[in-house]
Amino acid sequence: MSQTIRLSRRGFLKGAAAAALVGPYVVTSGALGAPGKPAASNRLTVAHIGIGNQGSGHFGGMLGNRSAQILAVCDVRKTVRDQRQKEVDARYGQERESGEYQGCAAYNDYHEVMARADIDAVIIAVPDHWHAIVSCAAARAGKDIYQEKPLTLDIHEAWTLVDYVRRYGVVFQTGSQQRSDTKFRHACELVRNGYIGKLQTVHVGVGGPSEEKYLPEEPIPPGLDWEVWQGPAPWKPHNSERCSGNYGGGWRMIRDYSGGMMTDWGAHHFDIAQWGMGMDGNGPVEVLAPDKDNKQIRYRYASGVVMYHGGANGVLFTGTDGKVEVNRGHLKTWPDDLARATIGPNETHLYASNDHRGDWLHCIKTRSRPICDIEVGASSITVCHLGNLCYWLGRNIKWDPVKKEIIGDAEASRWLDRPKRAPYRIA
Amino acid sequence: MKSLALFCMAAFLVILGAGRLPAADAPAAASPADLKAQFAKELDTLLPDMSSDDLGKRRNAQNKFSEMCLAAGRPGADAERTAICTVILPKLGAETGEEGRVWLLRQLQYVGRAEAVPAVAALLADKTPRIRECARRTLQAIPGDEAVQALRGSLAKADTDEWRVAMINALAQRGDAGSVAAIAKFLTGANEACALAAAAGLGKIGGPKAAAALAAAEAKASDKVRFVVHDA
Repeated sequence: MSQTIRLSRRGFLKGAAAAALVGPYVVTSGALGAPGKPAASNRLTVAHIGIGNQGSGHFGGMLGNRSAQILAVCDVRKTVRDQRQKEVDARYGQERESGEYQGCAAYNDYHEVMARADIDAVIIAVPDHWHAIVSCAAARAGKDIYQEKPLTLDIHEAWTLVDYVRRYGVVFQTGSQQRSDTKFRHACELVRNGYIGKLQTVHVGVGGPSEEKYLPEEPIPPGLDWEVWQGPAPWKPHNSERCSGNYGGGWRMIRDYSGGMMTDWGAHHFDIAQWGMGMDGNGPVEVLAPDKDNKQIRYRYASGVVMYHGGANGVLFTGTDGKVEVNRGHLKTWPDDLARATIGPNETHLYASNDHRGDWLHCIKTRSRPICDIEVGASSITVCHLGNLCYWLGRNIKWDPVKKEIIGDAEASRWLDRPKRAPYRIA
Repeated sequence: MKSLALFCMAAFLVILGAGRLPAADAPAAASPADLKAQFAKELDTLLPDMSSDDLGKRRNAQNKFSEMCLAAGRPGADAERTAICTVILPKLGAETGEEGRVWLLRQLQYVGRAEAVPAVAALLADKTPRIRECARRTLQAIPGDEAVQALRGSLAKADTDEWRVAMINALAQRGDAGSVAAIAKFLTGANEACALAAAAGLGKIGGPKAAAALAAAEAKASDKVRFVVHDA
């Protein structure tokens, strides 16, 4: 493997401004750019790592983005990466006089992406148990990152990833795209500005935690690198259900790989709840286990607000003077007219983004923190993970949101950092 | 007195039968010997199915025992935790099926402490690679110096580079400052994977000794390792 070069491509280009070109040099139309398309040197170069259900959406979006260029695709399934490589080459080939383009690389190993100094940014949509390892590697390689939610598989990974992103100064967008939806933003602004009075409770309607799955062994399909697919997770025999990206099941519902719907949807709705409560970077102080009066867990915040896991899919904020209920394509308030309230110029206006991936791309240019910056993702996923822990252990969990520690429960604390199967580690 | 003890044990059996000990109703009256006897009885009943080819039976047996283990790990229930770990230890050998052994090691990863270290450490040399790796992860999670000593000992005796990397990763993830010297000697060794693991590991451990070891190795390290050294 070639040595990883720390200096980014864009940094190099800035530094090379004084160099003189000697001799005849043919400048391609691609290099010069074309009407509506930036010159090659101004296009963001991107690699996609993990191109399953969710990754495909990002791939399609970036392929059609004229200010970006996909230089590599990476997936442990050979058929997937070969197919995507062909699609990239075909699309970019259409823009050339020759009709040919073979500039997209296809990798099984993400290290090869990280080793390329000519790749500016990565979009990471691998299964959850790989998120932290790949993103930390990307941060260390100086690449800006769009990483799908849920941020990580455990709490320690989340805050380690915060350290990496801050240390290496990369732009990190967590894929909790509901924050780039006007309905969710308006709902949270109503709450934050006191339009429903003093907030008392929040209800978050998402499914439950993941669990152990007992699946029969099946032959490994040709082209799937099952060893690497498992990566840091405990070894299990292959079964197609294990590595299925099925939104309602597959790896999402298996504890060694994911936190179930508590994290898969929780990274959306608990994230909105945190936003509405003004709790980014912070969190609850206790998670209460189900009891005879409550079939599901509750979170207690230092402010006195209680957040309930349960209810219809979405988020319901209840205050002393009203309520706001929000979901995709849905906003309902009590009283009715609150939904049409205009947030005043001197009131709190939350970060406005109407395009989650576009916000990330913009922040890459401006070198600013996007709407779901790493700390937002970390504090939101911490809420989800604490909830799962409470379900799995069947007891209350006391949490210090500043120190990021479980209080008074040494055995519960072991779940904060799950040992990884060798040789995999956050490097 | 005997009837009271029998009553407590009966209550405890009812609770165990439910698969979980309620957090607020720990059977404080049960002696350590009673606890151990009851957990042993449960494990003897469940253990054969923990490795069953019938995945439904395996799931039920493993889940039921895991609920007991996790409940025994609650604050204030150290007598239960010790008892259940004690009954697990003799069952870690090869006479228990592989799936059962993996599952028992996972429970010790969750609730085992010093009492579990000798038996788990012995499995670092098991002939089954999967068992060795499960034992390694269990020791990584068990708090206390006993587990560290076991990991360090295994690193010293390791005869493959893969195992050395695995041990370095475990010690580094524990943040064990006492392992700096043991890890640092791999920084400039012949095997690149070990050197990279050592560099990354010392970065995780941090502190003046780790920093000094990294600085000392910089000039002698390969380019690839030097990059990680700088980073660390």
